[in-house]
Amino acid sequence: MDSINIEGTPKTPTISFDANTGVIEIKGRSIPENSIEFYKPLVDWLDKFADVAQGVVNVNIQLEYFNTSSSKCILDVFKKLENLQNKNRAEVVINWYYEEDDEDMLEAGEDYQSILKIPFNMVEMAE
Amino acid sequence: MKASIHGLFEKLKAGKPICSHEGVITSEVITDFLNNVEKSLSDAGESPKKIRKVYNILVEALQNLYHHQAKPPAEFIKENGLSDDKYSFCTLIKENNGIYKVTTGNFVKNLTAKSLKERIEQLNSLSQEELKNLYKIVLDNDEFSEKGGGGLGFIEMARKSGNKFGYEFEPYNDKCKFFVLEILVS
Repeated sequence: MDSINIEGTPKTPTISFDANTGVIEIKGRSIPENSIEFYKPLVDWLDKFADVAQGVVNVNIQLEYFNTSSSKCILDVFKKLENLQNKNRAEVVINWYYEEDDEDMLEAGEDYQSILKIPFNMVEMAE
Repeated sequence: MKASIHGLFEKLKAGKPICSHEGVITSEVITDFLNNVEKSLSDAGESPKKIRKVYNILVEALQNLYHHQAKPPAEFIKENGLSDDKYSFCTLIKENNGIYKVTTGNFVKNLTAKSLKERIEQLNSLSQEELKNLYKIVLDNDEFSEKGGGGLGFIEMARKSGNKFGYEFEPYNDKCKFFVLEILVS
């Protein structure tokens, strides 16, 4: 199946969803006015990925900013990944990156962690 | 009261805002506003932590205006010679005590004003822990409004601000009010 590669803009993140390696990355800023429009193709891709996924799926989330409408869409992405794990298709690990003094971003990751049943690694980055 | 809306914006501007905008809020206006603020605060040597808080609040405040800017009354459009049929304002000011103040203004229908007031007062009554719990409940409720909002904007602003919202509903005519929202970042 095809991968998705989208270059980042000042309002939308860099996306790399690779079906072959099982590496899924969202990086940068996610503050579009219409988040659903941006995330829908990604959520649809994950539905198809569920049929071919195997082994370990590594998810790297490295966001600098995200708005609240993106936060709902990101939860949708995580829920698709959680399904993947529930169906025993793959072992999913989410790596949530945050800058060392960015407690709000760490807390945002912890908010997701408390809603979902997939393992999160909180990865602190030096500024 | 009618003449006071533009006057209020002028008064806020007299406080030498870091950034201000009056008129229609487009996607481009939001991008420019955020870029200007980020650059100004960074040039002024503000801490990355404070910049992030101000930026996050501005994203939500500006996008709230973008999604919910109601058409102003016809007499307001005429009196102020507006070429667009939308009007809002947003300013960011740094006060002498180092606190940043975001102020937004937009027209709302009377019915919306009533529910907005209740929502703000409800959020103002919650502790940070309660706001966090409410955020998680709303985040996980799968609901999007018809305008694409997730119902989280105000909760997020309250969490990031750590202060109570200031607000006013200025009566404009028998159908609508002018809503002024004030968010502090200390």
